[in-house]
Amino acid sequence: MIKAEPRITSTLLFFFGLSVLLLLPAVSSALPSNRVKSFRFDKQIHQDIVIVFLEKSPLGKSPKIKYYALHNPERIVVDIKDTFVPQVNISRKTKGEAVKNIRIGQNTKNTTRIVLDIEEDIQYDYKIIQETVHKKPTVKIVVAPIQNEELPDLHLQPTSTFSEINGTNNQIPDPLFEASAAKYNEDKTKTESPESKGPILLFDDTVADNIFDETGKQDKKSDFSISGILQVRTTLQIKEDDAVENNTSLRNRIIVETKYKNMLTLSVLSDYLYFGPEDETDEYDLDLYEAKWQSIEKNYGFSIGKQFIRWGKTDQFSPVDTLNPQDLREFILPDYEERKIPIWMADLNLFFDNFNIEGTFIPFFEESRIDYFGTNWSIFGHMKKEIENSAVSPPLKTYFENISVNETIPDTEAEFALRLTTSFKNIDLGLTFHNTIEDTPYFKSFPVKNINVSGDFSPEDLASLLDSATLMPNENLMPNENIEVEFKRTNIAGLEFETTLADFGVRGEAAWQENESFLTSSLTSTRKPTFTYVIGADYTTAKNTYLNLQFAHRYIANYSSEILYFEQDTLSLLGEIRTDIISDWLQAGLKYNINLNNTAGYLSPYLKYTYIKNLECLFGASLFSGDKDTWFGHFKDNDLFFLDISYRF
Amino acid sequence: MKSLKTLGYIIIVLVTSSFYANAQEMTGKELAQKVFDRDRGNNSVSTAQMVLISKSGNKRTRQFSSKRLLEEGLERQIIQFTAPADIDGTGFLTIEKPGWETEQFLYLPALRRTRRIVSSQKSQRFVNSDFTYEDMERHSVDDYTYEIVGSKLVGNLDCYMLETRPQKGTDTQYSLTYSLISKQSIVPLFVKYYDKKGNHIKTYKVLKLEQIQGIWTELTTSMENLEKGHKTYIKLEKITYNTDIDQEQISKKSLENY
Repeated sequence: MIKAEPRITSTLLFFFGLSVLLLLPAVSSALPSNRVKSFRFDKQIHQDIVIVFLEKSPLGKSPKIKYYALHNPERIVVDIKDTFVPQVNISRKTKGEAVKNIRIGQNTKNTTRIVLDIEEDIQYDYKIIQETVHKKPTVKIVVAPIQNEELPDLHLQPTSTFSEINGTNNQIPDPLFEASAAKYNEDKTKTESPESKGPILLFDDTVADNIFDETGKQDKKSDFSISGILQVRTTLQIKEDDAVENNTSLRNRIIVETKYKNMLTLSVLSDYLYFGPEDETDEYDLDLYEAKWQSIEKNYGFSIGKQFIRWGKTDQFSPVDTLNPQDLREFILPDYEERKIPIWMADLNLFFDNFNIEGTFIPFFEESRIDYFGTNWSIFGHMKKEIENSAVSPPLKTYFENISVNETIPDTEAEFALRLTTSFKNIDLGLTFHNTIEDTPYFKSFPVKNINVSGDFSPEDLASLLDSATLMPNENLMPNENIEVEFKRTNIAGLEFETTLADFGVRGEAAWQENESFLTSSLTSTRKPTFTYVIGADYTTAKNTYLNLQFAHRYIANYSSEILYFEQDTLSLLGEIRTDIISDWLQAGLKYNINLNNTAGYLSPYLKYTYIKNLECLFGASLFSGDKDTWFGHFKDNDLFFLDISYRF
Repeated sequence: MKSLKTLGYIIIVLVTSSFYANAQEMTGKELAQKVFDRDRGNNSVSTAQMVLISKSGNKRTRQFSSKRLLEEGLERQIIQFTAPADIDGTGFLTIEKPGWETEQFLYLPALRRTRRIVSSQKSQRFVNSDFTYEDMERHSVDDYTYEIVGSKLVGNLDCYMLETRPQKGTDTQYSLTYSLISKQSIVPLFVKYYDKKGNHIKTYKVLKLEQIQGIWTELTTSMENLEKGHKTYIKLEKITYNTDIDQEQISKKSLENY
């Protein structure tokens, strides 16, 4: 045997010691250092307690215990790291108030898992405590059924008796199960780890406690909810411009909505609209507003019923958002979304990894609500009243007074639409197609022939109308024709996108319509293909000023000069500017739509007050400008102030 | 003699190793990384109340639910307001993408659609609270420099004092944040925010801290805007970690179908 040099021996020992130091953690982690020795179930008043006895306390730098609740079925899972249980898969039924079964097993090589199966349809709370019981380290799982929607006090009270499960499972020997009936708790030594401490209060800020005491606990989200909106809008003409006009209007809308689990929605609309006092009209509707059943799953979603479906990305003017008609009785005074009318639809969405396909079927046609006569916003304005007040002959007055509108709905009412959406990087894209019936009327014939109006139904315009007109009266001088109105079928193909670019939100839409109806100077309609696109951006400053600017272009193919209100190319700037005046409860804003071709336009400055919870007050003006043969210009005598109050509940 | 020498070598090895370990004090960046990496659960579902107090003492209360999911190092979160009625249904979705890009979406029930919003406007206040979008986002540890400048007690909790400054080119509204980070829980308990001019503009505090399911959780927090005299309190009413939620529940689909 060769005797090693002492120096070599020392060197070897040095490296050996170093390697032991370096390798020791790796070596020690190969085997769990802790062991489950036994467990016990303890049923107390309104508490079930499972106590797992360990060989040593699972303390260490990293959390040794992780726990969480799982559902379907309801269970509590507790993982104790660096621990093993000598026996495979223990399962024990219990007679607890919440816990019905205890399972213990080795989840991974180094982790023991305890699973408590919980009774169905109960609400409960639970807590994990590490403490020493009878000088033995334990992990205690306390489960407390919730009695009256308040969390129970989970601080354990000393009890004089407890029940426990005796005996063993004869099929599976269970040496881990303790059958002793020792008294529980009284003089145990608590060595709670940091994990077991209650809330730690920091900083002497009592305001938080006080204000949350005032607000109380958050209401639990119920499966069934009722909400709604109560809205009143009144307008006042800024000045009297016309011989006949509505100086005031009043709109009162109440919507009450019930929802069940976001699956069923049912709402009712009460809607009263008054124009007056001249040429006074009022209308009241009590309607089913929305009634739909919807479900969203991982790969598909559907909704069936009376509903809204919003396509498109742009604001206030959306060429591809063609599914729902609009209530235009107040023209564009209400916001775009408020004008929309829910209709019966069946909608199906299929969700794929990289795209979605949506198909919509509309079985019944519903037109946009428009008044033909008698209001400031009606198509023919106050024509009848103007003629009635004019110097024309009584038979002529009678003739015009009796003109009525006959609407013809297409035999085939059904519509269908498809939408394909996807996202690429941070761009959302959509392609749409809608085989539809136009929501706005096509005037097939007008009982007064040989007329050439400019679109302005002023007394001068009407006088020239009557001079050149050929009336079609019967022998009683009654018109033998109505204004015949139809609703024409067309196809609309669209594109939409939305993205962000630096600090701007950018969005746009384009729609090609196979045929679109336009009113002409003969007060009948013509149809032309159109192409419309909108592109815009918005930006919010650091001081919360919101700027929205959109550019719109509508091109009418095969244009004819008899078309009223629109040129072949209509170019517009539209959008909104909004800023905080006082905090976030008083805002000033301006909505605008300016026609670049002819400077006709619409401006709506407003103040918005939201100081009171759920109450919004909007005070402003609607101002129209431009020549009377333009779309906005022919409403220029309708400048008004408005007050809009909404309360949500 | 020989055996004594050998024993001496062993002792030197052991002692040297322990000294070496102790001499390796944590750096500021290591502390920041610990804060970033601290256990917040793989996911969480919570409900909370937010109270906004203006300078004049006017209070506005909001209630919301939140779901958060961490998958493959990327976080997504959805916040949906349940009260008051005028914002019920309003939802906010944020999705982290590789490369520290974040997509954000806002759903407004009145619009009936989801809008993509600009995530780069970090100084924007979140729902008019004193928390900005920057305050609510996670940030790459590498975008900042860190220095531990001492220790301080907050209540009975010993804390690191950490100063954080942005690296050149980092887009942030703050030139400096001064944090007190609990040594035990690695939770920032107190943060002072300084603007680009070096003015102390906001203070964040954890008012109540508790370990829930083994995870240190800020139960009540406050953010005070010193410039405006405005304060926001958020109280977590209920939170569950590591429950069975998935990406589907934190998506545009779930935002629109709340």
